[in-house]
Amino acid sequence: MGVQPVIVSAGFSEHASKRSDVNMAELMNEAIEDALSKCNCTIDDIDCFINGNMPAFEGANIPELWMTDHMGAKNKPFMRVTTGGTTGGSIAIAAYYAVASGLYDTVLATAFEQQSCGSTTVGLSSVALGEVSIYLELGYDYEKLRRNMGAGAAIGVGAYQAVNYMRRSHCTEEDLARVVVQNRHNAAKNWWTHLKMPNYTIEQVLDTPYISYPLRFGMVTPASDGSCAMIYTTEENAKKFTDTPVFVNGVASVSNETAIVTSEAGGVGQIDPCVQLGAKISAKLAYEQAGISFPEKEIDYAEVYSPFPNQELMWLERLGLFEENTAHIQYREGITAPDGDLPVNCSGGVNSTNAIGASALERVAEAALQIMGKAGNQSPKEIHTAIGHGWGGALNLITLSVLADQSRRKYKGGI
Amino acid sequence: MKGEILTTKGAVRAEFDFWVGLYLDKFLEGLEQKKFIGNKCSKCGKVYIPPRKICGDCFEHIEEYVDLPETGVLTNFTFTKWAISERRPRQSKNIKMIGLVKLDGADSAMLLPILETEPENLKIGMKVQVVWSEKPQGQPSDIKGFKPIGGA
Amino acid sequence: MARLEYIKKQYPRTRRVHGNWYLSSYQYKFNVKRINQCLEHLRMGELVGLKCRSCNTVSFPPRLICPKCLKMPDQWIHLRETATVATFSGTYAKESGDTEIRPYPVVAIRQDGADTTWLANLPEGFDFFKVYVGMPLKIKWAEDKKGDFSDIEYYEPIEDPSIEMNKKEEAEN
Repeated sequence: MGVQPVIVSAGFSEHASKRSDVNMAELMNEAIEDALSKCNCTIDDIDCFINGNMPAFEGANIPELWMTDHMGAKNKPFMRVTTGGTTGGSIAIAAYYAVASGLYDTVLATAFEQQSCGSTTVGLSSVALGEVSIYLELGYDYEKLRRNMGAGAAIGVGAYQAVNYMRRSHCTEEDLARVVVQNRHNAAKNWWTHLKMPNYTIEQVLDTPYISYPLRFGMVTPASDGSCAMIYTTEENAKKFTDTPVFVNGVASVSNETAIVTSEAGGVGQIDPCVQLGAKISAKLAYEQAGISFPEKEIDYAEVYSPFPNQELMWLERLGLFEENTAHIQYREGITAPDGDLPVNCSGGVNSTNAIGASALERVAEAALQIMGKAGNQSPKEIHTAIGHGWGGALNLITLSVLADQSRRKYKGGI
Repeated sequence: MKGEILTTKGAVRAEFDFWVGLYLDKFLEGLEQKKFIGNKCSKCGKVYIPPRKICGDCFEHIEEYVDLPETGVLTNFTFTKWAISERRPRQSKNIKMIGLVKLDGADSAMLLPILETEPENLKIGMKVQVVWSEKPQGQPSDIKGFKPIGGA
Repeated sequence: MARLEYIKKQYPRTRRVHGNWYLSSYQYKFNVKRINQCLEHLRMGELVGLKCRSCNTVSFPPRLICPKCLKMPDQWIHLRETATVATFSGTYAKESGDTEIRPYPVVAIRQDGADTTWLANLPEGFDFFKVYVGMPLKIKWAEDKKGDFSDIEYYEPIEDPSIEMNKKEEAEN
């Protein structure tokens, strides 16, 4: 049922700690021009625009109100989608449904973030203040609350996930450092990333101070300015626009309960934050839609959303690509390197570049470019099926897109 | 039922410093010298002030800067006694007037205060002239407002 | 904070326009019916959790809506005073009076008999490196109870003989 959506192009702007030479509208325009230059599509072919970013992180809300000219969206349908850290993943899914429903033929999906304009405390407090303010009214000591929330604030649930994951799998801090070093070496070969560190070593990572146990300063993600744009269209149009279309075969978005704090000062039902049931269910739903029964054999490339290195290991297991508690061994043996059996995050991942609104969309974009053979750091392996994954929301939402170079609908006779 | 609902109150203040980009930077540089600078699309000839990177109709880059005069025409206006306040509405002593001013030769209008006149005298199509602040600093506040040419 | 060396590109710096405004002035409303009942019991020195009749999930502190089956639980049951550490982390900060930065443990605690966790406190100045997942704890009540969360002054660790026994077996093997 429905039309088969196809990705024909993906573009990026240059990411940096402070893009001080452009305002938000011009930053968004850079990615759109990059995307349009890589295919035969022009701005007049676009029927609908879907945009998003993390709300209020720049200090201003709904910034696309003044971006219409820069996006080429004059007099055309426009929609805003925002779901916290998975904004990009939700935009990819919204673009998928916009084309699959038959309402629009060609959709431009865009996402951006310019964090150097605002202050992150404002953005975070607009997300988390509600659950925390009640504790102060009910007798919880303010100093102790500040310290307890401090472990979660800068890093979120990543630290708690790391402690439990390390206990289950017996991986060491050196394994975490190895993941970080691989990501940043990959980023050095990719043109649009933020932290390009071709000479990073495991010793340098382990030499930096702790932020929240067990994560060190050298392991965590930066805050970047940047944007990303992708073009979704129908199978018919894709023949005009490009020679290497990428078919979107499965999408899913499932959320867990929030971890650590919940509404009305009640207890949290998630006892072990590294179980991540939402990821397992998302994977099951998306793989069924795409016709994948053995993900560890059928998927050739994975872009997972891992601002912290322990998450990269955890997601690869929960999404069905590796057996439980074995991911760190695969890294030791080089299976996830660009020339390995299952390359992971050849673009550098979120660990090297993190423009929050755009990060999850960049994972889908890089997965598509690897299948097309046009990525910045192209893997030498032939890639036929890839996944792009996002995590965020209120630390509990997962989005997943499964891409391939063949349509599944053909085989099933039009389901 | 009483005692069942707990209300917590507070306020979140947002501060931001956004980078203006190279085109608006030129505009603010002009304000510092008490000049208006816009830019003109080479394809359709539309003149934008403040200047911008892309022409909305053509989706082309705009590279030509133009100087614009200090006079213009009022295309729309309104006036009110309520102050634009932060937390709750309050009334101010004087009536505030704001209007859309289209400078001579431009195709876009700017929203700015109207000064040195009474609300009864405001008319669409009225000719207006800029009032600069004493010490321009390269910020949007260098334009104090517009006043009608030839008195109220 | 240490600085990381990476390949940087220099961008021209344009002017900045500053602004500030009240992003939101909020009045959050919380339904504290269940929490108030639980805190009343705490004032009298009793520990109660809220049990859902349809799926038997117990929440402490109580939840208005059951986390598993989304029904509204209404059965109070008494709980033991012991608990375990479900997960933990540490913040690195220099508290007033310290000479250096040291880790301060932050723990999520699951009360025995309950199926939920919450952030509570260990004794002041507890050594971070002694905390582990599964560590057993016991409530230390406050002297004067006021009927709010401060009636539980902190959770203090209790003896765990299994740690020594496991270490002995590992050493023997």
